[in-house]
Amino acid sequence: MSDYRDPAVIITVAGLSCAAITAFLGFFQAPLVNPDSWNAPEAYRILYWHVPFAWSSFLSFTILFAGAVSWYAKRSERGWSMVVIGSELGLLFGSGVIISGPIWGSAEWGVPWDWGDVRLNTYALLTLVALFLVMSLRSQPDGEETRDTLAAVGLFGFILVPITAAATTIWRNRHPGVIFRESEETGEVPVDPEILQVMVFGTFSFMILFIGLVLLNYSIYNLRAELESLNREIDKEMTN
Amino acid sequence: MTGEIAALVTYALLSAILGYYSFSRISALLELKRKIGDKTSTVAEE
Repeated sequence: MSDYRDPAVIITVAGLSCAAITAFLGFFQAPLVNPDSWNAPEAYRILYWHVPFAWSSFLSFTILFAGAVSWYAKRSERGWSMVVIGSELGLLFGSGVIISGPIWGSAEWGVPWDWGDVRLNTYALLTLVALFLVMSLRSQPDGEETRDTLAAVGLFGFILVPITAAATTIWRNRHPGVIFRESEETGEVPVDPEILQVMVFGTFSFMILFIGLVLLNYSIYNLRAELESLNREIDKEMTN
Repeated sequence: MTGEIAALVTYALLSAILGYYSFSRISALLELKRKIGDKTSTVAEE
């Protein structure tokens, strides 16, 4: 029972609860957007999770990148654990974005995907890199060579993060731009304050969830290593 | 698909993914702790 009081479990459950509250507020508290400016004003509620999912995925890819650099520079076990955790969370949050984006696109644009939009395509590629890493981590035997190869894939995959982020403003085609930026004409954020509040609460919720999942995965990684070491110790005792 | 249905479908799918992943990780953590507890007592007995 005391295992449930593990900080990682508590933070993860708190993050999940806050994310659920965000969804509730998004549906029942936040006002509708201007129906004249949006084709499907009700579908905009998807963005309360879509945007924090995207930010969490970028944080995951940053962890993956930092881990890959650490692995190459110091052969650090902690660095490798960051590669493993970053890939898994990158796939989780990236998949959420890839699922929610096209559903919103179908309602708002009338098409789920635009192959001419740089941001959509670089983001999909980024999620595919995470998928490749997770599948490889599960299917390949662990060793220095495997780690070197996968860390290299992670490093090159990270190049897509700034390209995807910049594409929001530079090569924007269909995907909306940054919504929290102040308007150059009025100097105000062009979003209803109540919508902004729910959006900020959503971001805060997903940060808690993200921290919880990182701690949870890090504990699992370390406990697996501890279990392997105990198994080796028992095997050694048995043979003696 | 209307906007409201699109939003409901999205939240249902994303909740399932987030919930499944988070709780599978929590149960993996608890299972590992249990196994380590068993092994540690085995080592101590030996």
